[in-house]
Amino acid sequence: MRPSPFINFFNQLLAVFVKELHLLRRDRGGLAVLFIMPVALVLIVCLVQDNILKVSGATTIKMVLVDHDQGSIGQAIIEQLNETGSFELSVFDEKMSFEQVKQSVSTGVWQAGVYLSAGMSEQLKRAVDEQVKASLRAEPLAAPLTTVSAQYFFDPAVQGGLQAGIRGVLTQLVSQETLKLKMASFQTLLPKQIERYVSTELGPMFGQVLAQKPFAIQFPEQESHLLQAVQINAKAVVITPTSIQHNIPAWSLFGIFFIILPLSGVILQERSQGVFTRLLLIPGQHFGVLLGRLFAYLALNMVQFSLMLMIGFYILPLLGTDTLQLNGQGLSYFIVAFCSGLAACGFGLLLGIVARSPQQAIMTAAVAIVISAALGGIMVPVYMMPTLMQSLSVVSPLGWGLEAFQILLLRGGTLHDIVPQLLSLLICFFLCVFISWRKLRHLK
Amino acid sequence: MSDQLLLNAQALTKRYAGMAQPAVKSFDLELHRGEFVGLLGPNGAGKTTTISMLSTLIRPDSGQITIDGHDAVTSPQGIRHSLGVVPQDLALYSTLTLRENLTFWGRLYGVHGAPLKQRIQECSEFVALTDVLDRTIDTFSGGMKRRANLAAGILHQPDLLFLDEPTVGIDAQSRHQILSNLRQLNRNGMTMVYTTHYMEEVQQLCSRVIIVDAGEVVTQGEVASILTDHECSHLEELFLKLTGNQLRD
Repeated sequence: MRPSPFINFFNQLLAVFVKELHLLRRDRGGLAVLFIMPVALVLIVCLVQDNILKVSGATTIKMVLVDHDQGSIGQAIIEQLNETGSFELSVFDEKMSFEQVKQSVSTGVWQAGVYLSAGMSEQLKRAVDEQVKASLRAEPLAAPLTTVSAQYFFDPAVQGGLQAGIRGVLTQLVSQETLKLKMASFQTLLPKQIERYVSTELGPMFGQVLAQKPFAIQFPEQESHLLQAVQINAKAVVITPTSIQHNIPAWSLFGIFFIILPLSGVILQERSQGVFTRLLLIPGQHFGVLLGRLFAYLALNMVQFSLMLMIGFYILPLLGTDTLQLNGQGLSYFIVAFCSGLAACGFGLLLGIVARSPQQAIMTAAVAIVISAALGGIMVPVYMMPTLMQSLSVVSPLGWGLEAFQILLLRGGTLHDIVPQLLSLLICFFLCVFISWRKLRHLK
Repeated sequence: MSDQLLLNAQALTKRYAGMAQPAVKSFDLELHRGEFVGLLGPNGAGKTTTISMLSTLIRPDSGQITIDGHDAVTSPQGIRHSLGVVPQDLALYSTLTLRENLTFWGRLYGVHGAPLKQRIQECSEFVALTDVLDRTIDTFSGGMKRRANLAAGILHQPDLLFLDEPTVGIDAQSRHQILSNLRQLNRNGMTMVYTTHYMEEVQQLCSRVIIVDAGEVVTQGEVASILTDHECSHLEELFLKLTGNQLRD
């Protein structure tokens, strides 16, 4: 007795699913491309970029401060640098010379260094007092004041943006300390100047009265900020874009799209032999064959993606990087991986039908994946590309997948926020299947 | 052979895109249950196109095909379970074992469970490949591959089997094995359409022969009868007489 169409469909789906897994199990080259290559890439690139992100400021900056001054300025700067939480500060006194700190920073031992010369606090205090006295007398300075310098240096590998940031912090700290000294100086010198002025201009009697009830001035504490810049985050959860947060999803997508190679390879093998003829002649509508094949490759994609996540959770932290943080949307990540896998399978199917030889398929797939990865921001983030390339990046399926991952990972997004990206991937899949179907009819 | 008509093809014509002449024109065939028909013709004569149309692989541009009462042109899905095909090329996955291949093809034709296991055993015994059921196809010799190909084509016990040059490029022993297998299958009631370039195979096996050239039937009938009609002593002489000596590259 012939089975019902539903049973027949299910049997065909299962038969193809099992057959594809058997074929993949014996395809060592294909397995290497699907598992070893993305794992190796993600390990290497994460470790390499982890350092790059450090020099670009995405993580704590290693800074050395050599304090030969041992005065109030050094202490204040150390306290405030530690307060920012952005610096891993190493403080040295006489044990390290100016030349030594310069050399250490230039060879990358530290990313930035600050040198406070001996007597700096004292010199600055004297200069400030001179300036305040001159101001109170409303007279120009007799001679220009000597500028006191807090010197700083950078590791040449530190990127410009980070240098500008550190420069800004140091400049602000120096200005703040100078202002503090000026205010302290005013606080001391202004009453004396008023007393002197009153005695001179109004007579000694007034001076004596003033001496009994001295004029006092109290500047507000530094901590009471009247105006401050406050950073507001768009989402409650904000995760720093580390190398792990970028590379695990990025190279997972790269690996997912390499499913194109074994899938198109199997179809081409079938086409070059009589298997294809026999497949076209089986009873039923061939949906079972298509779905069974897709499920097998998608299952492999899901295993591959899980493996990449495990690397982000357990392996890379052992090698000194951060841990991957999924931001509580586990299922959404798998939905993105699934839709990306569908788009990849669609393209693999199309390539298997359209290509004339395995060599042509391999070449086309490799070039298409690398170009799509480059355009999609897998290697360099899209926002860092020139305008033309940014406008081209919208056509990259890997870019859609990566964008969806980044919305979930870094912007605290939900499944609702990534619907456009998921739709793009699904449309890509259906378009590829439709073209394959048309081409298949033509081939028949 | 019975009188029951299994396949009736009328006025089949097929022209491929970009070709000046049709590959097959006005081809007629009536095939009764249990018949063993040989389809002969030089290269490019239209044999494979004819078999492809009859086996529902491609649609004819015009003409009708009825198999076991079903319209095979408009609804080919309805009769595919009763058709078997042994293509000219190896229709097996070379990195799978014979058992995995037969299991796969059996399931696609709706055979599963215990009956599938039984059929795999029967078919592998039939083609003398039981000992190598768990070896991958790429370790097989040419003859073993051809026999495995035949096993996959008959696993679901089709009523009508199309064989496209199933013995090409194999040793005498394997060819002998395949031919005796086919004879046995035909004796058991399987109807067959067979294309080959080996005239002696057709003379040995087929009850009827059709010779085609340039997409048209040149002659057809029982082998002995058409040999007598054309005053030829053997099939090769008749073939060359009807299709000429020109090379068909």
